Amino acid sequence: MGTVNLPDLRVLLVDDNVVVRKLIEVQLANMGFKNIDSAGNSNEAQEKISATPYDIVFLDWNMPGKSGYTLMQEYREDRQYDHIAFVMVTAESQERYTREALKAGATMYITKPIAPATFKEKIDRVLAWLESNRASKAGAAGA
Amino acid sequence: MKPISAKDIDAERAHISEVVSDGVVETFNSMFGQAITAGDLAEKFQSEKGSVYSSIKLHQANVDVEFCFRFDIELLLQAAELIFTRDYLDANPVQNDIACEIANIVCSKVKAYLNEKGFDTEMGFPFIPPADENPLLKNRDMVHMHFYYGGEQSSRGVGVVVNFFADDKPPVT
Repeated sequence: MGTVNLPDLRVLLVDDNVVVRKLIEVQLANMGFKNIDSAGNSNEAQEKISATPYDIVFLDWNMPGKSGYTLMQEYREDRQYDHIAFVMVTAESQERYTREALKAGATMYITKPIAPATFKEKIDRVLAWLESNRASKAGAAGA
Repeated sequence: MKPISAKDIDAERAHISEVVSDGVVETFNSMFGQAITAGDLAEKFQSEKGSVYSSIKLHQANVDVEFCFRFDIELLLQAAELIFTRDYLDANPVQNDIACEIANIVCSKVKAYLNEKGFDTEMGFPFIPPADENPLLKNRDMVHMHFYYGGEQSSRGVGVVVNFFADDKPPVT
């Protein structure tokens, strides 16, 4: 990846279940990610996103309190955060949820149970999105 | 979307059982690195080292479908040790989190199956039932599914037991 260096990417994992957060963290670490934070709910996530320029945010769709889906919608309405790749992680396997998430601005949709091979393939696509997004921003800035 | 009733769930119980069974096996295998086998040796129900229970509900209007899971604590600890360090687990028992996550994933698959059949349901959050309440022993059992771990000989006994049942609630007047 030209402009994307895994150890430099800042990642936030948002899920109310510590086991899911850890599972994703382990898989990302195995891929070479180094900067991985986590949050147990949307309020904590908002505080962290305000303080740190994350590149990728994993969101659990269904969490007590504000859902990950709602949180993503809010950030997608603010162009200040359009550099963030939002990855929805959910057990909802119906196609309509995937469509809904992508339409609302999700960069990727990962269905649980999370299988390592599928996970890596989807993260590679997220990295490609980050690369493309950065390239188009750089192009726009240079125009 | 069609309204659902306890009779509908009863009529679909063989298919729902299949979805639950596939979901439990897939989740343990792919996400938690544990080989699980579906079986029906109900006499091995008793756990030697203790159990963890989790529950989750699907509902639509006046119908609740409750799914109850019982896990051998040893099986959950094995799964946890693949993810967390021993030190972390000593300070932070995560077996309830694993039990809830499996319930969440499996029930989502049932929700998707019912949706394909034209029944739209909402799914609640998974929860750990009160310690003095064994949800599997509620006198309304429709289906009991048993899963074994520890290889093909199933020598480790029942690793997971799942039950589900539906209730028609009286309409609110």
